Amino acid sequence: MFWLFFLPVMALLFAAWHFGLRRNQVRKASLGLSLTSYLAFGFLYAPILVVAVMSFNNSRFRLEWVGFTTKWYAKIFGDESVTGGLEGAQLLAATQNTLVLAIISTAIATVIGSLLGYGLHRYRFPGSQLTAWLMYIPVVTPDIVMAISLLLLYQVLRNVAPFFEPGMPAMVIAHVTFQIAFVAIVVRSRLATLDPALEEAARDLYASPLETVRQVVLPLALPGVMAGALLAFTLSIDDFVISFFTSGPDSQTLPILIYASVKRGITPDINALSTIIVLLTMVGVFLSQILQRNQK
Amino acid sequence: MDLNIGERRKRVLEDSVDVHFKDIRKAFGDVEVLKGINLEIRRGEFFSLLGPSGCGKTTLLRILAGFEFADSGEVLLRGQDVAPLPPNQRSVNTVFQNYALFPHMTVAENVAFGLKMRKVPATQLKDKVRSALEMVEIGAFADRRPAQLSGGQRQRVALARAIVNEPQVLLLDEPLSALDRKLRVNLQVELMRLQARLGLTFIFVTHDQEEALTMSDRMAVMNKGVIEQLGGVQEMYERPANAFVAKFLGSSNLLEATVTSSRTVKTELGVFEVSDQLPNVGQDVLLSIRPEKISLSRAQSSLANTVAVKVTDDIYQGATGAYRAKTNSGFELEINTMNSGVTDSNFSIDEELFAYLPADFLVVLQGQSKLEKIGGDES
Amino acid sequence: MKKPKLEAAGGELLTPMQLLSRAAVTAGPGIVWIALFLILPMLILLGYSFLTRDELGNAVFPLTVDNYVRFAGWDVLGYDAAYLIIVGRTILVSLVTTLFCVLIAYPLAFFIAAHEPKTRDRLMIFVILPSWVNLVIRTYAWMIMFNPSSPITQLAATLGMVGPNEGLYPSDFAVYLGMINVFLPFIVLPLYSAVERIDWSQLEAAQDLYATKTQAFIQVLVPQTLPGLTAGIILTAIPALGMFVVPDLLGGAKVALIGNSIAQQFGASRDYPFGAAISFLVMGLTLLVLWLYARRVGEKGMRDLL
Repeated sequence: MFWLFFLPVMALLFAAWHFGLRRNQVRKASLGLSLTSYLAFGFLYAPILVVAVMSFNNSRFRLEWVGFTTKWYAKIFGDESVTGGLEGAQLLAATQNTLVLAIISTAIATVIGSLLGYGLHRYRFPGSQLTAWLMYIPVVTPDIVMAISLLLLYQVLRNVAPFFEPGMPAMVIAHVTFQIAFVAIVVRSRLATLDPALEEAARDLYASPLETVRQVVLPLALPGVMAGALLAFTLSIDDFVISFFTSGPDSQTLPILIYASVKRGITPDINALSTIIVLLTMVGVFLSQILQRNQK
Repeated sequence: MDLNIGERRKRVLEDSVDVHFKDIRKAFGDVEVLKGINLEIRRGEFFSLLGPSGCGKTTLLRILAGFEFADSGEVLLRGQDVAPLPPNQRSVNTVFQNYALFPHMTVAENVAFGLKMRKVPATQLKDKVRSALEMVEIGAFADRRPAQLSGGQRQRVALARAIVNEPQVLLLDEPLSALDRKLRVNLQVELMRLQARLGLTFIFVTHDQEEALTMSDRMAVMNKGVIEQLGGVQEMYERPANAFVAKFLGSSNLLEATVTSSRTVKTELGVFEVSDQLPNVGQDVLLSIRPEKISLSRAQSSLANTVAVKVTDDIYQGATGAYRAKTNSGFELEINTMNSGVTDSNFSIDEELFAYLPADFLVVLQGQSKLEKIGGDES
Repeated sequence: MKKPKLEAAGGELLTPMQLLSRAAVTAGPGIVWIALFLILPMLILLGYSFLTRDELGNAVFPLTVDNYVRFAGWDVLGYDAAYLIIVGRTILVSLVTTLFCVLIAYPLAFFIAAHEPKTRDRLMIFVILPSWVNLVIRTYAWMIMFNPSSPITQLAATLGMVGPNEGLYPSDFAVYLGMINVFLPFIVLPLYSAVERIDWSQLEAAQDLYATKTQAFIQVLVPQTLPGLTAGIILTAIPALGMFVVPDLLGGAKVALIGNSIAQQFGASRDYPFGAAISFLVMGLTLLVLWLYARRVGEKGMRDLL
């Protein structure tokens, strides 16, 4: 099964070709500027490349290069003859948890966040300025502070409802909280680029308020809604700290699993797992970029 | 019935009133943008609201369309108070300044939008859309998106999208201001033809006095929330009511004077005869005369209303020539001449000439009698 | 006749009641959610920071300011500035990280802006792409690179920078590199959008008015990048203050930062009130900076943050 892994590799190669950096397009960057920038790119990508390379290392424990192997990928895709590292069941559960968490939280956050973005764009009401400002708190607040404050909230609420035990529901609520802010900001900036006369034109052409939203506002806001949803999804998949502090024993996500394994000692199958995640993330980002471009 | 422009001017308008603004007042915060507007617009007329930006003309239009509300006063559309009606229940349609075409719909879908919202049956809808597109000559672009059209084409789509609904009144909010001059002139002519053909009431908002003069049957010149003058275009150009209109509609020479008899006034340029109705002897008045009404000549004339001047600027403009000339007292006159080649119209700087200001064209302005009170140049 | 005061919104004229109900239907759920899960937790955080920890590790009354006093260094055992030192170290790490990010981001932003518009977009995607990769993965990669047997560490050992059989991590150096790596995209992004908006004709105008190239750059171009730079600094310096993963994996016990201290109180130490006090200080600082920033750039300018 492990060869399935090469699908994203090919997709990535295609994307690299599609976005190919042709050197002759450099217009006026001086040599020094270019060199610094190439070094900066190298620095940005070094950790990712190292993980990818080490995922092919034929060694069970040691971190130095021993030889080439693809067995760690085979193991992740279910080859039980490979020993060492993570348990298959654990991996499967973590993958499931990550996706369930991301999908549910993104769905909730996209609906609530888009509505919030529209409401703030459209109506001036008492507190609208304050809300617009509050939305930036999750953008800059350190993850750990948000995580801790939610942890304490759950502890207080647990006296009222067992729903707030550490676990999936608590994690979904935590993720939705920061996702809403991002979705609302993205949707609102998209709406701000639209000519306000478009809604007036629809009303002028006999559309009711509801029809105006359905026929004009929604289709035009859709790229923003999609971009917001994608951002929310990626943020959820990416999140470690907030999940870590709100998860229960049965709701470990992939980042938590990786963190726990790294704490015990890095094993090559973690590298393989990480590489797959990295590739899928990158393919997702590229696809969204291509989608966005085609939308224009 | 296809009327040409000459016939259009001569057509007899119905006497019934389509739109009636009654003492409309509107303020945004502390700024009063409309200070009691009273205005009747007749059925089938091409009516322009002309004024500098910020004069309130667009707000007045938006109140009629239903996007704004008046703080006080009434708007009657064919005798019915429109205040309780939201925009989608008013049988007026708007051509927006930047067209406001729906970017996610094709041209045909844009034009069909209003009909669809009013649940016009599909078969009728298609025919109506097609004929509307043909009327504005963009039938070939039906399947394109607005982004693929030029400014002039978008303008036509916006027009088709509005007229396909057969509104009682069509509102046009500076629809030509985003286009370049040549295109604008062409579209002006087309708009006039279209209006005559449809017999629709057009309310046209513009800050361009030339556009308003060219296209309108009647117009209102607005300034700072009030109507300065209302009337037929010719009347308003020839007989501006006050200094603002005289300056905003074309250009004018303004002259302070004191009435010396029922037919004469005394100015710093000397005594002038005036045909217009003058107030009592001894009162101060402000006179206006259009630059093209003044004639220049080299020969000294014995006629009254003639002053000696010296040319200070000479601007060649092709079809016309524009001159600035100073009198002995230092007063500067603006004078336009036709480059017909028949009359002597070629003067040079520093040449000493005689300017004739015919008594028939010296217009007595209302509202103010001193120049100093005129606000900054707003045009 | 008294008419209700209407408000124009989206081609509609609404009475205040209509407007409120529309706002409640659209923005309402989001506002409730934010109030319940963002604002309320902050208040609880504040409340917890004034509680006391009992022998079992539970947070109990009475209310006290002991947690803040302890944070400032006065403990039952006498004065110990350990937490203030951690705060100082955290601020230092945050500032140094930001400084290096700015130093790298400037050439990078100008480099990208020097390309054709299409290529610019692609290069920007390449800058942002790593930030989508999970933080834990990007951080433990440095553990691989800096372990005692890696070529990089051996090179450093040859140069005498580390002893034999020692890794380059855990160390300050590893923490800095990890942090810079994580935050670089966050500063390039807003900085680049500012650079992209630069009116280059002003550079020519400045040179036309006898400025040298350097003078023109400093006096004309740099000021135009300041809004983006400010946004980038906020996006880096504040989250860096609370960074937990990087110092946890690359710093070890020697290089504990505030983020680790907080995690410790909610983990091994099980002293929630004290942890809440530290968290609230970070939160307060965040809100203060955000508020100052909002006051300066206004609500529209805050969009630079995303």
